[in-house]
Amino acid sequence: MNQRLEELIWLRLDGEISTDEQQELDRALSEDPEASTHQAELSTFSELLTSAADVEAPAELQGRLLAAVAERRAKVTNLSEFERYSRHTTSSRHQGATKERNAMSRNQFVTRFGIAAAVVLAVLAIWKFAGDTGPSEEAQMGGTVGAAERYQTDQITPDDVQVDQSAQDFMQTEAFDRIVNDPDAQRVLSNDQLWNALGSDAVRAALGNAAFRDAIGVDAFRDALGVDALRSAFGNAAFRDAFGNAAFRDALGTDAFRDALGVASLRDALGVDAFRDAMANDAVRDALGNAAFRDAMANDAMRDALGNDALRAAFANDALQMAMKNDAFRDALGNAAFRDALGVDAFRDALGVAAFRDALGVAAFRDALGVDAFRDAFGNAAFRDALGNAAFRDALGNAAFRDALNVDAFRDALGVAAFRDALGIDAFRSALGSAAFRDALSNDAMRAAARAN
Amino acid sequence: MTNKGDDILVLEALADRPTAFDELMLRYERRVYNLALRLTGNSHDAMDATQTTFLKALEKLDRFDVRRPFLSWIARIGINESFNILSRRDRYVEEQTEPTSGAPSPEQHCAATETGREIQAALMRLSDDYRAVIVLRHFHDLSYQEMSEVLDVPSKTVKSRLFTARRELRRTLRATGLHR
Repeated sequence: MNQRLEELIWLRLDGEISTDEQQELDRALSEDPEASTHQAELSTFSELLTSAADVEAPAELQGRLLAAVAERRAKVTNLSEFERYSRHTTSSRHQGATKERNAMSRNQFVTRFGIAAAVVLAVLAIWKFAGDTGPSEEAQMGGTVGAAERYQTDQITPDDVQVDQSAQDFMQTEAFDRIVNDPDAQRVLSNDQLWNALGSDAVRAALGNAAFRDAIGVDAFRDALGVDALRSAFGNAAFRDAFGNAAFRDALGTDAFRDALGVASLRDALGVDAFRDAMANDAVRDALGNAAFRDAMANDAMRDALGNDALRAAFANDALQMAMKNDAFRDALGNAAFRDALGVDAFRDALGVAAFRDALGVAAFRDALGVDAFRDAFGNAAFRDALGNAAFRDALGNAAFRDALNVDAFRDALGVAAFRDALGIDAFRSALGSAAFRDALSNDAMRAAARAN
Repeated sequence: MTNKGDDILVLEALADRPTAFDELMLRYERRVYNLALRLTGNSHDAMDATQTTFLKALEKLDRFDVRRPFLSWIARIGINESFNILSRRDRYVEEQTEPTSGAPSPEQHCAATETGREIQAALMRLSDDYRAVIVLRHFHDLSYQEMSEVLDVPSKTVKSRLFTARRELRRTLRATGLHR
C-alpha cells in the first residue's frame, strides 16, 4: 500500500478527512481493486485496538486520591501561612528603594480598587491583551481569574482588602503594570457597577464564561451590571451563553432591554437561538421596552417566531408594537402564515386597526393569512376599513364565513378590487350579519359571481 | 455529583470549596487512570501516576485557563506524570543486579484478555511519543486538534507521529499473529 493511500484511509477512519481528500480516496478506491482490501485491513486494525476497552479503576484508588489531596491541602495551608510571614519580614528588611516604590504603587492600587481588582485585571488581560502577550502569559492571566476570585468578599470595599501571596504574585508581573497604566483599563476599573456586580455569586460564576469576559470590554454591558435583574440573570446558563452574541451585548446598551431583563420569561427566551439572533435588530431591542412584548416572551411560539426575518423587521412598526398588547395577536404568532404576512407592509399597517387585531383571535382568519391574495387585500383601504365594521367582525365568528375564508374562490375574490370595495359599502357589510348571506358565501356560484364582479 | 461544568468547578475549587476539586477528580479519575495504565503498562504505576497527576493539578489549578477543556489539561499532566514514573522505573530496573523473573510482566496488570495483553505489550514497545498518540486517539477518542493541545505539538506533527506509530504497532501485532 502506498503512503498516500494509507494516509487517506486513516483520515477517513479518524473522521478527519476533508471533502477534497474524500474525493481523492474515492477515486483511488475505484481505480485500484487492492485499495479496498487495504482499507478493510486498517479498519480491522483500528477495531482491534478499540476492542481493548477501558478498565475500571481499582476500588482503592478513589479513597487514595481523596486522602492524598486532603493531606496536600493541609500542608499547603500551613506552608502559605509561613511563607506569608517570612516574605513580609524579608520585604521589610531587604528590598531596595525601587521595589519599595513599586510596592507602594501597588498598595495604592489595592487600597483604591480592592483585591477583587485582580480578577478584573485578569479579565482585562484576556480581553485586551490576550493577542499580544503570548501564550504563556495569557495562560497565566487566565489562571488568575480563579486565583484572585477566592479573595473576594460579598461587598467589595477598600476595607475588605485581604492580600495574600497569590494576588501579590500577580501584582508583581509586568502584565499587571501594563494593565494598570492602560487608559481603557482605568476606565473599566472606575465603573462602580462592575464592583457591585462582583458581589454577586452568579456574576462571579459567570467569570468562567468566555463570552462574559469579552462583554466586560463593552461600556454598555458594564453599565447594565447596575441592574439587579441582570445580575440575577447570570444564574441562568442560557443567559450566560447569550453573551457570545454581539447583538445581545449591544442590546444591553438600551434602557428598555435592561428593564426587560427583570422578566423571567425573557431571560428564558435568551436560551432560544432565534431570539438571541433577533437582538441584532434595532426594532426588536426597542420593542423590549414594551411591557406586552416582554410578557409575550412567555409564549414559546413567540420566541420561535423571532427567528422570522419579516417579523423582526416588522417590529419597527408602531401598529405592531400596539398589537403586542392583544392576546389574539400573540397567539397568532404561532401561525407560520401569520408570521409571513408580517412581511407585507399593508398587513402591518392593518395592525393599527383594533378590529383587525381582534379578528386575529379567529383561527380560520389566521390560516387565511397564508394566502397571497388575502394578505394583499390588506393593501386596500376599503378592506381595512371593513375590519372596523361590527358586522364584518361578527361574520368572522361565523363558521360559514370562516369556512369561506378557506375556499380559494373566496380568498381570490378578496384580491378583486370590486369585491373589496363592496366591503366598504354599509349594505354589503350589513349583509354579512345575515346568516343567509354568509351561507351564500360558501356557495360556489355566489363566490364565482363575486370574483367576476 | 453535580452537573456543573468543569470551568465552574475549577472556579469554585479556587474559591476555597474543596469538594469542587474532589468532584472534578472523581469525574476524571477513570480516564486519567486508564491513560496512565496504557502509558505505563501496569496498574501500580498507573495508580501512582493518577495520584501525582491530581496533586499537580491541585497545585497548579490557578494556572488553568478556564476557557480551555479541563480534560486536555489533566491529560497533559497525566502523560507527563506517567512518563516521569516510567523514567524512574527504567533507571531503577537498570540499577538492579538481580533479574525480576517470576514477577508478572507489566502488561499482565492491565488487560483481562489475551488479546488485550498482547496489544498492551505491543504498545509498550513503541517509543513514548508514539505510544501517547496511539493511546489518545484509539483509547480516548481525541481528535487531531485535541491531541495537538494535549501534547503541545502542531496538528501536523500529531498526524505524522500517528502514521508512523500505527505502522510500527501493526508490524508488531502482525508478528504476534494478532493482526494480518
